[in-house]
Amino acid sequence: MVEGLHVSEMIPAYALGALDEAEASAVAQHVRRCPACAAELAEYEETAGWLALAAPQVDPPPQLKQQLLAGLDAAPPAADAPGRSLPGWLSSLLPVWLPVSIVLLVMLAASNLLLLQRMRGLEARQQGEFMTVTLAGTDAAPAASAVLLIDPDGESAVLFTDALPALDLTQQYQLWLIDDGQRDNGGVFSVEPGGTGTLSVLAPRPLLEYDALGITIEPAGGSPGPTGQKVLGGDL
Amino acid sequence: MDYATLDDQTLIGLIVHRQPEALSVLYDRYSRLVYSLSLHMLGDDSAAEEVTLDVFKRVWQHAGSYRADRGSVSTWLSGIARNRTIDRIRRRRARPEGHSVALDAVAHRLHATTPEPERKAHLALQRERLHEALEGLPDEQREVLLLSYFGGLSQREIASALDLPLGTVKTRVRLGMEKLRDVFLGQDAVAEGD
Repeated sequence: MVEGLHVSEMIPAYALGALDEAEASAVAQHVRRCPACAAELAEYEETAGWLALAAPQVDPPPQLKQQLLAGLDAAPPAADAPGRSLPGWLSSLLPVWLPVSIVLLVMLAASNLLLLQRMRGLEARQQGEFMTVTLAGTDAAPAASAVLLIDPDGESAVLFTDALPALDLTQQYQLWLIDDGQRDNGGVFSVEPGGTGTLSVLAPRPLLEYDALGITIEPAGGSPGPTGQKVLGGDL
Repeated sequence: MDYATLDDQTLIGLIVHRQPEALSVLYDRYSRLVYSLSLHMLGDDSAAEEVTLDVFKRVWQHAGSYRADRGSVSTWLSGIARNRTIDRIRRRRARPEGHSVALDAVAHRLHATTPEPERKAHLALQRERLHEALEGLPDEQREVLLLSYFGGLSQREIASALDLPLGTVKTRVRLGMEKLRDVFLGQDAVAEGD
């Protein structure tokens, strides 16, 4: 019999896959009910995952990749049927909250870019449309443009930039979320030589609480507040 | 749009949206990790190739099951690779309870590997840190962790194979994992994919 008291001691071994069936089952059951242990398990699973790198690193033969790509079918993924309670961030919502027309609009408007949703463990999301915010280049970068695609949940978004000059290695672009003079960090990113950039934005507050966006040039890794030249701006 | 600039989670999202180029980039990033893990455990390159194909086909089919709150994409991939490989080991060698046939096959490969130059920049730093962390463990803790991870052996099987009390093995596993966790989580998060 395994007591709850001792389950947490078995978590590291569980993450390693070193428990026998009865013990593993007891841990699995406990972790479903105990968020603290679930969080600890996530840490240990990540730790165990690192061990993979202890193997001598060898490349597979090049033809394996061709074999993989040739064998892909375009059929929809093995998605769970609507209403089932299996985990998976996609669940049954993809066909519902991602109307095809929105995808096409985005693709046309943003040169074949795709919107994607941040992965989270989830309950059902509110359905809704994606919001797009266009940013225009300032005098410092007149040719630049950007689009921020905000997820229906209002909490995550993806930024796509175009025609921003490449910076040297000591600098990066930083996104600012502006609310009544206060500027929150939206993330840092670098661009490809062609000036296209992507940033998955995780805002400290729901995005729609902000009223404007700005992108500035900052030291690599970002700054607590904007210090450099502003290159793009737009209103929410 | 250059998919190679996207981070791992973004690629997974695109794979859910059936973008083969995203899978192609993910393969470029992690096929070596997956193949090497499987090869180290199996010692058989054609079997390791089959596992590698299997893993990435599963990614294509089940990318929606990836949960970011459970860990990084690379851990998810290596977990799938390890599970497929262990399945294969168990099918090949039906093992009676407590008898660790895999131990002999694995033991000769569990030498301390010195880090070769790693061409994939985003894994090089992690690999170096791992080696330092492993070197920092007492030998007996490192041994049980590697036997468990690469041999797919349970604590009970390790105790039997090494002729040690089960309690001793359990303690070594727990202490070793605790030390590794402290090392990895004490560092700044390493960016996933560049």
